[in-house]
Amino acid sequence: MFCTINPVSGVELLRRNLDALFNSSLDSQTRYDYPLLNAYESADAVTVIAEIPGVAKPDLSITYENGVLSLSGKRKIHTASSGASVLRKERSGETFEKVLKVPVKINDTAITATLTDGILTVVLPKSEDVKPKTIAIN
Amino acid sequence: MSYEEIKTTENNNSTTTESVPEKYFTPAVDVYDTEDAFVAVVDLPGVVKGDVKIEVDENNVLSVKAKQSFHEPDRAVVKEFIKGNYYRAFSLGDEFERDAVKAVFEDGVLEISVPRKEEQKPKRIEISI
Repeated sequence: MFCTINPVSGVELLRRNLDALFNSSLDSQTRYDYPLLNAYESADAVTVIAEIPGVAKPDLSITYENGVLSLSGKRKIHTASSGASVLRKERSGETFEKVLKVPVKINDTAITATLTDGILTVVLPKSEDVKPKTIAIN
Repeated sequence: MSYEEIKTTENNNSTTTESVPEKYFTPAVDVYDTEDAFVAVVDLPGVVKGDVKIEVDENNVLSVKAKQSFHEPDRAVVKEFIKGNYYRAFSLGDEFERDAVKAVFEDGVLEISVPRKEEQKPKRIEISI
């Protein structure tokens, strides 16, 4: 079973999501959790796509160990000058950590990652021995 | 400073902006008031620069529309977000210069700044006793 764990947020995340639920209209959805993550599985690989706007490459760390993919890092939230008054603050993730359990054997030396326009894509190729095999008929 | 969020519901959809996308997500926004400007910082991950549309209409409503475009494989096993459109709008007071909006877009974060009109900037008045 694939599952994500967000060690940083916890109760805070629940509170924000409840706030969002009561404040939003039905046709819109506010996304407060940071970062949000999708995972996809094909015959050859598991692909993870995370929304990490505002994170520069040097501030992001990606590790894979014992079937667990971890994303952690920081991003700059305060861009306005120090004299400014804050009227609304919804963006989170000043420091973040997100963990995904990957229940498939991965060829961990062949993992690749790209970061474009705030979208992180990590491709985890499956280990040869779990890939589907076509059997030739003699 | 006068500003308020424009909430689009079924009732006022027709009266505010004519081109609100039908299905959209509300991006997270930070709003600041500096002495010189209204500043909004918007998270728009997965959006290419050309797919962001910023408008200030005749009623001083600032709106941001954007479309996500990134390659998404089939067969999701974990799904925390759905690829789609973003929309957010704020009504600004008359004290802002709608013709001088500046925007910077980098790493999926949009920063919009609308300067205050020169005569609206806070003035320091020395009062002698």
